[in-house]
Amino acid sequence: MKGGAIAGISLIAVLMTWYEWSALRRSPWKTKLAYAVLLLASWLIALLLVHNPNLPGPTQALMKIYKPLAGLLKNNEQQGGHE
Amino acid sequence: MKEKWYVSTAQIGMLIFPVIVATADLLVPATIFKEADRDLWLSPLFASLTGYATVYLVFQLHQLFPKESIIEYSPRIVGPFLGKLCGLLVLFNLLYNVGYIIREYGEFIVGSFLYETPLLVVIGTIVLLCAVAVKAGLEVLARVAQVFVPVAVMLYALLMLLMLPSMKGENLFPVMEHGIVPVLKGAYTPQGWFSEVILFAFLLPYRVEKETGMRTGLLTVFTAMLALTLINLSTFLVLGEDVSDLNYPFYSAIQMISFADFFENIDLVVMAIWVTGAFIKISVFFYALALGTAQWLHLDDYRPLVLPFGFLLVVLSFWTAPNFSQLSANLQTFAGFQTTAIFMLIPLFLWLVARLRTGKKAGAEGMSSTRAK
Repeated sequence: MKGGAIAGISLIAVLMTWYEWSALRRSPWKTKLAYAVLLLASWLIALLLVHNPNLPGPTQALMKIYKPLAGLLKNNEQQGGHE
Repeated sequence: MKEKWYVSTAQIGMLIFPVIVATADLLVPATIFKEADRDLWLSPLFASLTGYATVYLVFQLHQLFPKESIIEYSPRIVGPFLGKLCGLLVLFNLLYNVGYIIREYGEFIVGSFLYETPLLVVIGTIVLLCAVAVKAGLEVLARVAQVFVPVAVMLYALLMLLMLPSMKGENLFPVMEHGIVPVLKGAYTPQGWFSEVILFAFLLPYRVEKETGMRTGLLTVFTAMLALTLINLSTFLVLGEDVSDLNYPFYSAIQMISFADFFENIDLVVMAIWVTGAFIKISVFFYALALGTAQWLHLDDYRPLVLPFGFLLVVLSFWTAPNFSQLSANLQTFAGFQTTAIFMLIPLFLWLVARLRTGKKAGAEGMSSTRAK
């Protein structure tokens, strides 16, 4: 099951590059680099997610950042006695 | 970036209208109800204040730099390092939000219509569709919006007329039983949606008319506010206190429409509108994301980035939350802060610095010429 998912994800990445190849070949190196970095990063994250679907991600990071503010709202609510 | 697209101001307004309304219409009534109780229809009024403020800031900045997007002019205002940092924050927030929106879309479709279809298929197809639209360019997107948004608005109006017989006026009273504080708390989540009008900053450089004021922006926010108020009001009048138990109250309210036993299953219309609205919304975000990244890296074309971004968005939409209940809990706790903190405070910061700098130098031209590209 996991092997199939990994193969499928890799196949999509390869097909995407194949489709874009003619346009990519003519574009400057910076575009090529940006394309490669984006694709490899997403491919890697996809594989990690297949391995562990509960991988901590941006949601957890943002939650850490905004938790004090969100907590503020909750406390007020309790003080107000409103449910 | 030297794209030569020309879109009218009305088209830009029609592109931004679904950005505010499209996903808010189904999810927001339940979220607001938890805080504001039966005054839920008042909350969009206060939530839209964020929208007006953001529109004001974005349009003021647009007047200083008429040919550039927020990614391009932020290094000019606050210097290369801080400017790039602001751009990165905006782009990251766009990326995260669009992953979120795609997940909301997928969860609704799978949860309400295509029960047996894997989430991946629903999400993958919409992202592919949006990628094709984004690759086709802004003019295509603008025309899609011009065709579909009026139809969607008319269908919504029709649905509300059909809901009239099932509405119970007594649900509404007493108004503001607990004062204004719950209403303001209810406005907390939807104001996040209104701050997404920062997307104006990516579309305005391509408009044809040289309108000096910010009429379009204000009108868009106002109509979106009106639409959300009416949606909340009609949902609550039909369902009453049951709103809190439902994931998609507006959709459930529509399901109650039934005339003479043959005029039924109107909820399919909601699905059609929702798919259209979500398509335009995701496309506008996607377009801003791809274009903004290309501008941030000084690439000459954003199109090669569209497909890998699509891949990343599908992955991210699964990464944002493990399941639907977690998704809507996140929406309730920090999504309001997270969108507004970046989408409103960064334009505010840029605008303040620009004001201070243009005060000293001779007008906006003085500032633009100091850092010739």
